[in-house]
Amino acid sequence: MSEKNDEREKGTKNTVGVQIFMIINLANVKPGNKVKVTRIRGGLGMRQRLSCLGIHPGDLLTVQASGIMQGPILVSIHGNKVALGRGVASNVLVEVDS
Amino acid sequence: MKIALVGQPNCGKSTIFNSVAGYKAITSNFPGKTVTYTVSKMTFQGITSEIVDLPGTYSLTSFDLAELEARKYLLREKIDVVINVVDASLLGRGLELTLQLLELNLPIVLCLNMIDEAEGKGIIIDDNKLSQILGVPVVRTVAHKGHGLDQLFRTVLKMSSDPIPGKHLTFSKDVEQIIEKLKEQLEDKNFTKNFNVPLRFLAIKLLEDDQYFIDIIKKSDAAFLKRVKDYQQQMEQCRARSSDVIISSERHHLSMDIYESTVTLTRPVMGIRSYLDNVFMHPIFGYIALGIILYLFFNLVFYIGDLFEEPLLDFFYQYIPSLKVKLGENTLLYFVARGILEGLAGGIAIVLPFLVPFLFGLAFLEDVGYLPRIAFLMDAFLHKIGLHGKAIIPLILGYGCTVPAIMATRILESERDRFIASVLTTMIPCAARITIIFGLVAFYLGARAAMFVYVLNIIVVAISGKILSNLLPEITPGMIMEIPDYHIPSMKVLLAKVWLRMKEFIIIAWPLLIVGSVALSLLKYWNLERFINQLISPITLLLGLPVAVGVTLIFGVLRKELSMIMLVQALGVTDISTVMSATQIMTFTIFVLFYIPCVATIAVLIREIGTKRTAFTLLFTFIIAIVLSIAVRLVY
Repeated sequence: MSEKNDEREKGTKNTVGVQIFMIINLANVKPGNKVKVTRIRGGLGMRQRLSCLGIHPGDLLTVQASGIMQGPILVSIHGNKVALGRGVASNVLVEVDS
Repeated sequence: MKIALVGQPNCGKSTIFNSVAGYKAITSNFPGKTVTYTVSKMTFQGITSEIVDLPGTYSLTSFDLAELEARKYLLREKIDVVINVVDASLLGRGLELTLQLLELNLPIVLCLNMIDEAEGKGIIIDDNKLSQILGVPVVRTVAHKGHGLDQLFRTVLKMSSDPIPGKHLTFSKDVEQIIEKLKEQLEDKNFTKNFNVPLRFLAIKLLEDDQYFIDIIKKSDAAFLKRVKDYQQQMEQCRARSSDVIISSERHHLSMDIYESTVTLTRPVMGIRSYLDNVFMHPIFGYIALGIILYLFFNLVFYIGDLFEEPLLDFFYQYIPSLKVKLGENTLLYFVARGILEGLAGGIAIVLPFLVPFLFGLAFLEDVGYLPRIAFLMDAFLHKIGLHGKAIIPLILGYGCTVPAIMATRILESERDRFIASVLTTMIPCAARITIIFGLVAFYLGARAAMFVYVLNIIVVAISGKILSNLLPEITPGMIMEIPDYHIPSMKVLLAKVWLRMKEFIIIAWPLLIVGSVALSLLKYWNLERFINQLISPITLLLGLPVAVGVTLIFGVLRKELSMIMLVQALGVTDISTVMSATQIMTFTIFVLFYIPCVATIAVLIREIGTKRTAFTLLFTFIIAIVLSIAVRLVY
């Protein structure tokens, strides 16, 4: 599977409604959107550092700002603000309603 | 009695510490400024005890150097009471550390700090219920206002005379079963002696794949390690996730459960603070605001310093003629007296007027919480030189003093990043060098020339960063940083902080300035100065400087501001512009700015990055200084 496909893998289709979830990486989320963390790629170090700041799979977070020139992403989670570098954010996979 | 303050970064441990110990630990509004622990004696209700302020730790599983320091201390020292400080507005997250502390079986007092901030955010905590669930006393405080601290230490005293360990909270059944099984195995092995931690804590850490404990097991009993791995796999098969994620999410869920059952959410009071980041962290306005803030900052420092420098200098120098008459021009006594006077004048008239407003401004920016915002804005640029946003924090602190700034590189995760940031930090003009820029360049050549020095410095630092990261090609781990809320700084704390940093200058630098100044006088008296100048003349001639400045460059390694203060003395005039051209003043400043860092910096570099790398740093900065000064000589 190519990198691109991996990032855009489709979520399960709800057979009753028409709701479709899309899994994308956090770096591609536009400011103002609320998303749910589904998976954190990367090693033990990355996972632990994120979990220390309260970012775990299943958590809801809001993207507040996105830096220019491949700058960092600012998210708010559990009433707290966390800045994630672009590289870190692209390893956080999130679910968006579309 | 020994009391330890433990908590997550930026929750107010140092503020509580300072309120009982006097202002000894630097507090700021960014996570991770306490990198090593501070110990102090305190007396409460007639009982004297030792209180220690540990670096902030998000959890007890960690690779972070400062966090490791805290954990080692907790495991090694015999602590009577742990004060677990929690930022009440981040209770859910703070409890994750509390749960791990409970596993250590230590007597804990839970301190809900910044309770006013939490209530402003609409978070109302039922502390009685929280206390029941955890089995530890809970005290509400607002540390920076001193609220609740009396109650806190009364509870601590009570706890020390009648220690009750808190409750162990249990995870999901399947995870608990595995922990139990591993615990039994550990019990048979009799590992407790090696580790000095409770078995349950050890079992959980091993399941979490904690490198520190795993390594010890590997060394002492490699066969047992296989069994640990088996248990990890058992868990992983059950949940289809890696074992560390399972444990951390168990802890997370447990914390969230406790949070939900003890907190009532009401409508938050939306203050102006919640809108500030719409500007300060905005992709365009953020940079404009940053530019304006820095511009105002340096102009204000220059304006205030300029106001005081000349009258103070005149005040000191008016005594020189009368000294000459009274003591006789060529006597030893006159040389010594003049040396003392010039040393004093340098310290009071040239350094203080710029240092005080500068330190005050820096303290203000730190306490408001602006530094993490700068890190956010600068992340993209720092990536271009192979670092990430957090590295800006040591660089900014470097404008104050290089020594604590190099220690602040510990907030960076990778060793390579810490090394590069340390080298770059030594090139940032510290307060001592800033007084040279202000006292020489701004004073004789104007504010615009001083601005030029700053801009040139930033460009050189950026290029050096690029060179170093090309020499050490490794991908920086990327920024993961908490952005704390803005705080309105208290004047008392700001002044205390300026005083703490000033004190270091007065106690260490001032005597050195006077001794250095007298030493130069004596060298002059015995005509030894010419000999030293002769030795350094290859450099001074190369840079087109008067040979007489050679000796000041040697003294500058002791304290950077010595070079400038002694310049007046070495040249034998009070107005430097009469003997040095604009080009020479600029060349001298640029050289002093970059060449070999001061002795205190060299000492801290050796401790933080090792002797070899320190030697490299000295050579690297020296070459830069020579190349740049020659360029300035030819072009400026």
